[in-house]
Parts: sequence; structure tokens; C-alpha cells
Amino acid sequence: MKLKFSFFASVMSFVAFAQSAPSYYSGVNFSKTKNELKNDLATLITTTHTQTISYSEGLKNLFKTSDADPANPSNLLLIYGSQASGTHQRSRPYTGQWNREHVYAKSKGTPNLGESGPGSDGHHLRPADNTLNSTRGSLLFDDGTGATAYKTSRGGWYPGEEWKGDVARILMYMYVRYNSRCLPLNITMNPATYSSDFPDILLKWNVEDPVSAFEIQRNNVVAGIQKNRNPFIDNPYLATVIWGGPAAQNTWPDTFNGGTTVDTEAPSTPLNLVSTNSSATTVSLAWSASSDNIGVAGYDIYVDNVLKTTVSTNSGTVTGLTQGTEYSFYVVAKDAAGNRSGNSNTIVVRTSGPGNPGEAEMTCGTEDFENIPATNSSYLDREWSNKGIVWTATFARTDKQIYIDGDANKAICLRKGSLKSSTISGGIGSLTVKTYLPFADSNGSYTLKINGVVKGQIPYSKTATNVTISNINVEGNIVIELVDDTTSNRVSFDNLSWTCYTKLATEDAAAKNQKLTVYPNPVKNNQFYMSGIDKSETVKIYSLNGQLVQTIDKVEDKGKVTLHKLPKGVYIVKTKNQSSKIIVE
Amino acid sequence: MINKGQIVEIPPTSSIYNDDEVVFSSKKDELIRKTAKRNYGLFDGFLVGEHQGVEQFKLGQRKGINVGGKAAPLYVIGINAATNQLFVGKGEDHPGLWTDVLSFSTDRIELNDLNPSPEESELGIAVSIHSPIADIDIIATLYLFDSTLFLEFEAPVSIAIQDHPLEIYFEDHSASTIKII
Repeated sequence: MKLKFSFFASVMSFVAFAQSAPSYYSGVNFSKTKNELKNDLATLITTTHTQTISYSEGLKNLFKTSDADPANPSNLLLIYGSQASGTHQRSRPYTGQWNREHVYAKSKGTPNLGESGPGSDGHHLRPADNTLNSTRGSLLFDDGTGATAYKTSRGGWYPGEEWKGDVARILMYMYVRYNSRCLPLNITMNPATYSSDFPDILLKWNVEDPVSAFEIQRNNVVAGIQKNRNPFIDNPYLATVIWGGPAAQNTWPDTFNGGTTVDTEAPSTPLNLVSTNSSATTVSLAWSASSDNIGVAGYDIYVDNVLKTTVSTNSGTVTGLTQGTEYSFYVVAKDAAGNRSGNSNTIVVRTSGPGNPGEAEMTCGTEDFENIPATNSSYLDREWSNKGIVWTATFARTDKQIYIDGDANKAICLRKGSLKSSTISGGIGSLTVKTYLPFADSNGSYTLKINGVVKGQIPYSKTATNVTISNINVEGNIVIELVDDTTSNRVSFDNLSWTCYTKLATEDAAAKNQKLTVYPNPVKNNQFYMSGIDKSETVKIYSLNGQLVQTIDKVEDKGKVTLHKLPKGVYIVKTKNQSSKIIVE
Repeated sequence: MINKGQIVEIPPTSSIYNDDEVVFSSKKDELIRKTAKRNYGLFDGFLVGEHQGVEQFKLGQRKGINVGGKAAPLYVIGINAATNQLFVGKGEDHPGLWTDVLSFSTDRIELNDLNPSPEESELGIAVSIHSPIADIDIIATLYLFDSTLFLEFEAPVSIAIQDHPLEIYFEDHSASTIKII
């Protein structure tokens, strides 16, 4: 019963919980292991089993309290149930229809368990939906996936993820209590690699589905009548000690070592969040690492209060941002058990580039000067290439003294020189560059030329400044050039970026030809078709809070898209340059 | 001696195969994470049967798994000799049968005179790869970090190729051929 586990964990952390075996087990020698420990437990739960429960009336009365739904006490929780209604209903009124499920199928007992003794043991029988009970029949238990119970492909019965741990611990009890009459290998499919007399599947389930508050409630109610307990609900790690396999949770760490314990300690809050770098579309962050009693598993980075990405170290870069826009950032540390730290300090970073709200400007190209050849303090000709563009500079100096943003972030400094690109496609709408005077020179401006034509003046001063020249609007192939042939001022440049430019009219025409349509909407059976897209597009599905839930590659126009089993609700379908809302039913 | 072991089926919907939008601080981190994710464990899937020894299986193998009743054939997608576990996936389009990145410890490799600069290590070296089980040579980028060689493929390749010898050619012929044996 995974769903209720967090409740159980919180009960454990607030109530002074027994960390050692309770007095019921005082006669058991917990230094014993394997079958010796099993034999001790068998003696205990057999000799203390002093009261039996009658199959018909006894179980009916028992279930009223033992199997009451903690969230709705007039209902019973039905084993194998996972849904709100129907055959697979999970919670159903006590006054509704249900019957008694032998989790260890009667006919598989050697001999048959009948409806007394093991066949009416309160730790064994569970209320179930009549139809689901007969579907299960006497199928052997088999592993599977998901919340829903089903018959597996090799003809076994998968009880559903909420119930598989319950089943494992019931069958452990039955084996220890009734021995060869209730052999676990007669009721569960192979393999049995950890122990020759015990199925791996049950040991796996005992770990995967930890003891729930509901199971604890049941164990206490049944023990109040029968006087014996199911030791594997009191401590699932007993199964690991007896039969081996992956370590289950040890609720009595003071009684014996080993197993896993519940980690409820959250990592410390990450401190000193700073932005280490930013560009038109990215922001790099760093912070002081958090500590944790077990270990920090990762950090979630939140952008404008929405989870954006997860990183494993105390730094990361957020990509896909819009230029010239302010974003707020904070990070949260988490450990493997899912405990989360408090939020770090929040910082606000503005991406570079002109911020024109409502106008879809995209960075077309950037030059960060990181590929400049060897650093050198002479004003010489330089040539380098970056991102497919060859840059040439005259009278250019490249040593650390002229850098703008620290010793690790290269820049270039011109003295009565020029900076020129090779031919670039895509046109230019606007250009942004950072300028700075590293030495004692006077303020002035550089001339921006596109294809040799003057398009603007770029001012510089002793204050590092991002300068944007807008409305350049040259289509097609361009050559960018920054030049000063009048002063001898030594001017540093960095973070050059520009936007693409094509005439709007053609964009409009293209947009009209392609209108994204999704049908049927609402989406049924997790499948839909989409038209108005390019050939072989990548389609991304986002939840309304911006989380990417699925990526589908190579979708053709009028092609079919199959979704994962998404929860019902509204989602956003995004293609390369369009998006649409869908309702998933 | 027959050493029975677990066969664990990994569902294609497993979060192992999610394209999480993680930003990596370095290429090395990214490659290590991408390869480490395929280190399957018992709790990544569900038990479907038992085998008679992992040494009888190869990655990508279909025959001889001996688990019946499936709508599509099972393929071997992972082998853990230490725990004697066999990991299988259903259907030939199972994501576990395909990979973008493979890693090799350099003790399997005749490195010859390969000695990439730090820049080449981070940006990778364009290579083409010849495998006896692929009809055409495969384009990839080679990275070398510490004693691990990573190959990042242009298009997903069958995981089976790592069980066979590979010859790596450098596109710029800057180094002699590397063999992975």
C-alpha cells in the first residue's frame, strides 16, 4: 500500500515509535537467523493463536473493524481493488456486496485449506469484490506492473501495486504458521533464487510495497481476537533475515542491525545561490552544496516558481529562456527518499538581448569570444572561428587585463581597430553587444556596419554596458562589422548577439498555410491525429504547469500520435512553432 | 553447475528511458549518466521467470529465453553476471534494445596513439565505426574521459554491437584505427 506510506512515515516521525521488538516477541532469540528464527516465530504465533474466528459470522464481524477504510470507516478496502467503482473498486460500503478471499487459494493448500483453521484465519482472509475474487480463482501469484490487478501472460495473478506487499506478508505468515500445508512455492511463480523454499517475487514485493497504516490496523484488530500477530507486518525485515533477498525495511533497528530504515531527515537548504553566467537564452547558476544524513540525490531548479530541471551537482545551466526577460530562480535539494530541503534564496536574472514584450524575437547568432587564440597584450590582427563564423579583428588585444566579466570570461579589446564576421545567413534585426573601457580612455562610440553600410553607433564608457541597436532589418546574407577609425580609445567587447530578420509578410503567409489541428479533441483512448505540421516533426506534450510529460519524434502531417497513459486533464501539444491545447479523457 | 537466476522484464514505459530535460555541467556528466541509467536492477521491472545461467545469453538475443505467453518476443537487454540476473524487454522496438551512447573501459581497447587534447575530450572526435553485425558503418562521436571511452551515436544503434569487436576509424585520419575486442 504505497499510497498510504507517507502517512505511515509521518506517524513514525511524530510518535515515539518502538525501535525494538515489542514484548509479544520477548521469547524469541533474535540472534538466530534463517530457519532457526523461522522456527522460533512459528512456535510463538502458533502457541499464542488461542482463539479462532468462524468463517461466516466471525469474519463478517471482524472485517467491519479490521478492514475499515481509514479514509471512510463505513467502507471496506477490497483487496486487489484499485479503482473508484466497478469490479476493481477499492473502497466499498460494508453494506455493499463483497465476499471472503483466500489469499492462499484454498485448493492449493496441502491439504485444501477449507473454511476453518487456515481457511478462516483472520490474518489470511480479506474482503474482495466477488467477480475479481473468482477471476483470481486459484491462480498463482506473479509479478507485474501498475496499480491494476490482472492475469499475467504466463497465467499468474498480479495483485496490483497497492496490495502486493500485503499479499507477500500474508503468505509469509501462512507459511510460518501452517508450514507444509501452505508452502509459498505452491502459490507463487518462480524463480526461487534467494532461498530454495521461498519465491523471489514475494521478497521483492515485501520491499517494494512497504507496510501500510492499513496493514498495521488490521494486524492489531486481528491480534485482539486471535491473540497471535503477523510478525512480518510488525517488521518486514524478518523476511530478509529468514529467506534472504533484497533488504526490507527494518522497524526494529535496536533489536538487530541491517535492513533499511525510513529516512525522514531533509537535506539542508542550499545557500548562496548566484548567477555565474548568462546569455540571451541561458542562465548558469551555482550555490553552496547541501548536506544530508544519507546523501543529497539532486537539486531541483525552479524558474518563476515552476520546476525547470534537476541537476546532480551544486551548479547548473537553465536553457531555453527568452532573451531580454527577467526570470526568478531558486533551488531545492532532495535526497533519495524524497525529502526536500527548504527553498534557497531567490535571485532574479535578466537574460541579455532587447526585451520587447509581445514581439517574438529570437537570437539568431552569438559570439562569446571564447575561441579567440592565445591571449596576448599586443594590438595585433586576430582570426578565429566559432559556430561556423570566421571572425577577423585588427589592432586587437586579448589578455586578461581587458576582460569585462572576470578572468575566466574572454573578451576582445580594439584600439582604432575593427571586428568583422564572415558572411552569415538569416539577416539581422537587432544587435546587442557589451562594451567597456578597461583603461583610462574617454567615452565614445563604435560604428556598426552591415554589409559595409553604417547602421548605428555603439557607445562605450568605463561602465560595462549592454548596448542594443534595433531596427537594423537587413535580409539575407550579412557581414557584421564594428569599426573605429577616428579615436585611439581601447574598447573591450563581449557577448555579441543578434536576431534574425525576414520580412513579416512572408512569415504571415507561411503561418496561414499551416494551422495546427488536433482531432479528435477531447482525446479518447490516448490517441489523436494532428494536421498542419511539417514533415517528421517532433511533438512535445506538456502538462498545464509546464512539465514535459512526453516527446514523440517523427510525427507526419495528418499522422497519429499515441500518448502514454496520462491522467485525465488538459495538456498542451507543442510542435516546432505551434501549440494547441488538448483535453485527455 | 547450473546456476538458476532471475529474469526481470523491464517495461518500455520505465522511467529509465525518459528523456529527462536535465542540463549537464559537462559532457562527461551527461555521458556517464546516460550509460549509468541502463544499469538495470530488480526493482526496475518485474520477475517473469528463471534462466539456467547468464553465460548462455548475449545482448539482443531473442531465442532461448523461454518465457512464454507474451504478445511479442522477449529480447535480452541487460546482463548482470555479478547478480546472475537477466533483463529482458518485449518487442523489437523496446527502448532498451537501442542506445545513443555506449561506454567501454579502456582495458578492452587497443588505444594505439590516441591522445586527445582536453578540448577534443570535451567536444568529441568524429569517427565511423565498423561492426561485423551492421551492414553499414556507423557515424559516432568519440569521447575519452579518464579510463572510459564513450561513443555517442548519430542514430540509436542496437545494444548487441557492444558484444562484438568494433573497429573505429577517425574521419580526419588523425589517428590509427582503434579496435575494441
